[in-house]
Amino acid sequence: MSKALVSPKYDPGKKTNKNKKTSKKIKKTEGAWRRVITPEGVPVRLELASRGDRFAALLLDLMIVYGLPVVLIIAFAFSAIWTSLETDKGSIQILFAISNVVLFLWYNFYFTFFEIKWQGRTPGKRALGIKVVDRHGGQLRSDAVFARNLMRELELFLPISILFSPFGTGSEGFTDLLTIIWVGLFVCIPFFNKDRLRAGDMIAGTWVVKIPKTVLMEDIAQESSAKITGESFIKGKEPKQPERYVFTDEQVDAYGIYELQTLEELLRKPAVAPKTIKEVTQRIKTKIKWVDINPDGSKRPHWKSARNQTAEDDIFLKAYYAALRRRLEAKMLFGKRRENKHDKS
Amino acid sequence: MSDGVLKSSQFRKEREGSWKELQSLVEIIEKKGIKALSAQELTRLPNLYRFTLSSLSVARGVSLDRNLLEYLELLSTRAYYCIYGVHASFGGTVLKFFFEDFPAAVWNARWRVLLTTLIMLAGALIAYYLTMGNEEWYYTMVGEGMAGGRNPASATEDLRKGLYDGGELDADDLNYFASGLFSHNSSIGMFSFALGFALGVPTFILIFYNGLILGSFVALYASRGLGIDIAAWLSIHGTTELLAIILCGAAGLGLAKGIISPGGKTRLSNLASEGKQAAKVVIGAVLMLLIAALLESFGRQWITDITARFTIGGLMLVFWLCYLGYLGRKICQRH
Repeated sequence: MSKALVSPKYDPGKKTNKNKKTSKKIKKTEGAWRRVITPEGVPVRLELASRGDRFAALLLDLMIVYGLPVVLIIAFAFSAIWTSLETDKGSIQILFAISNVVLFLWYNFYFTFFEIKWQGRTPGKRALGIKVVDRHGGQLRSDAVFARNLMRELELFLPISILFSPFGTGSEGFTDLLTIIWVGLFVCIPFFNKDRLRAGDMIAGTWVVKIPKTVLMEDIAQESSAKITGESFIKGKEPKQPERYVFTDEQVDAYGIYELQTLEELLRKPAVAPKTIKEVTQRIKTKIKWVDINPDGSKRPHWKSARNQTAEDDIFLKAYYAALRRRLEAKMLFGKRRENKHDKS
Repeated sequence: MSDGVLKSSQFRKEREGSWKELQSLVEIIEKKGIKALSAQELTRLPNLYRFTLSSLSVARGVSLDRNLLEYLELLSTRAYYCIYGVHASFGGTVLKFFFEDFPAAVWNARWRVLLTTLIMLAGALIAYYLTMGNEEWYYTMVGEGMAGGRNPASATEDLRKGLYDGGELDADDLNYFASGLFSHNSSIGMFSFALGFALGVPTFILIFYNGLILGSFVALYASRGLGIDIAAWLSIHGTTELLAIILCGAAGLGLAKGIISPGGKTRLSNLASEGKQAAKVVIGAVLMLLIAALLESFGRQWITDITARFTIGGLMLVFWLCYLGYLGRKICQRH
């Protein structure tokens, strides 16, 4: 929730803390959003995959790359085919030769194969919901997939083999250390550029993105108008029944787009404390100098129970949201975007 | 102004169905791949995608519902990922690669290939003269493991035997030998490509060092009067194998060029286009190494006649030159 609608006076310590935290979080995630123009010419946003997600995907893939052959070989060693072959030296050697080539292909082309077959996703990436796409918005081509995965030789398999090889002593140890530092530089490249590219991404012109979740929620404006007209005022069109909440032009001119969308965020939240709703309603009512009187002059009943009051406030907020949005959208159609309440246009 | 529903709500109501339809199609593609769609759904997909994109453009102008805008934007992104993913089939890619991409990529990199060849030759010549002058150099250039017992201390007769040995080996041993050779050589090839990322210096050193080993190896045999024999022994597979290693080195230098002299583009985008070209060369070279390994283990061990060895090696060389030089040039001119 924003400072625009919720006064900092309200529950001061807790609130301001929370505000700071959320604003920081937003800033952080916004660092990962990039704009790409599709071949159709429409700009869309995409979110880069986090380094943690990519690392987890890599670990999963490595477990498959190294684990699966071991499991298969062990299973094969205990199977009936092996015992029947054990005496036949010739076929065993052919078997070894074939498995040698197959293992080579598996280790070196596992990533390439899956990224072509599954549209830029390996099993690990798939599990983490990330994928490889072209950096300039074009189609991801197979040569790019080959290029980015050939680079793994240097970025991944060499460091792994160094880690598992014995460390030399004396001058040999010194060269080993230099190699580790040198290779380490390549491994760390993703941490030193803002697009989180590894060397393979650089030579292939790709990056790794998060597959977004898309949830379309109910339209608040539609919902509220349906509710209000449906509740008590459908009785023919003429003479037009007054709506329960009617706002004057000055009242809907009090806020801008920023406040509108903050209000939307509040209304869309699944569970909001009644206190917050009350607070926001109070603030808006003060700002627009709202008088709790029906258009016909009768005084509006004051709800004794808190729950009824909250429901009433909710209806008020939705109605105000609909009115404000109508006003601002109408203005926008005439080319005037009122960004926030300080905007005088 | 206050009558009826909002224009933006109306807008949403009219189009919501199509968006939801696109979303369900996209979810199927993400889970089961594009082949899971029926023919009818497949024809709907691009229409729905374009429809959603245009909805997004309109919504940006008429609606202030942030959830709606975000939904449309992310749905467009998600559908865009599905539509502009990899679409080539694995088999089709392979065919096109052999008849077009690989020769063309090599022809485009011809000056780099020439440069790499010169580096290797320079290494070989230097090592040759040094080793001819003083056999001690052999120990410096060829490591213990690489020499495999073939060093200046061995008798000429042993060396000769090494060249013609293997006639009695049976096919099973050779199979294993070939596959081992192949994975070893290919790793070296891919590695020398990847090293090109470090401005090409390590690639340069690796190629030069390979030349050194070759040169002093030849020198050892030549000093015992086995010059022709070693040449024949090497040529049968070497014309293919050395060419493949040279191609990998040239690809590595291509990467280096992408970083050092980007030309009119930015460094990163130039690196991206050079990298893709270079990757094609390396993949082709890996396949050449597979052929070389087969020639090396079967051909070399079974065919012990000098002229036959030279003929096969020479024919392979002519084949590669025609394939990469002639075909590659023709494809490049056509484009």
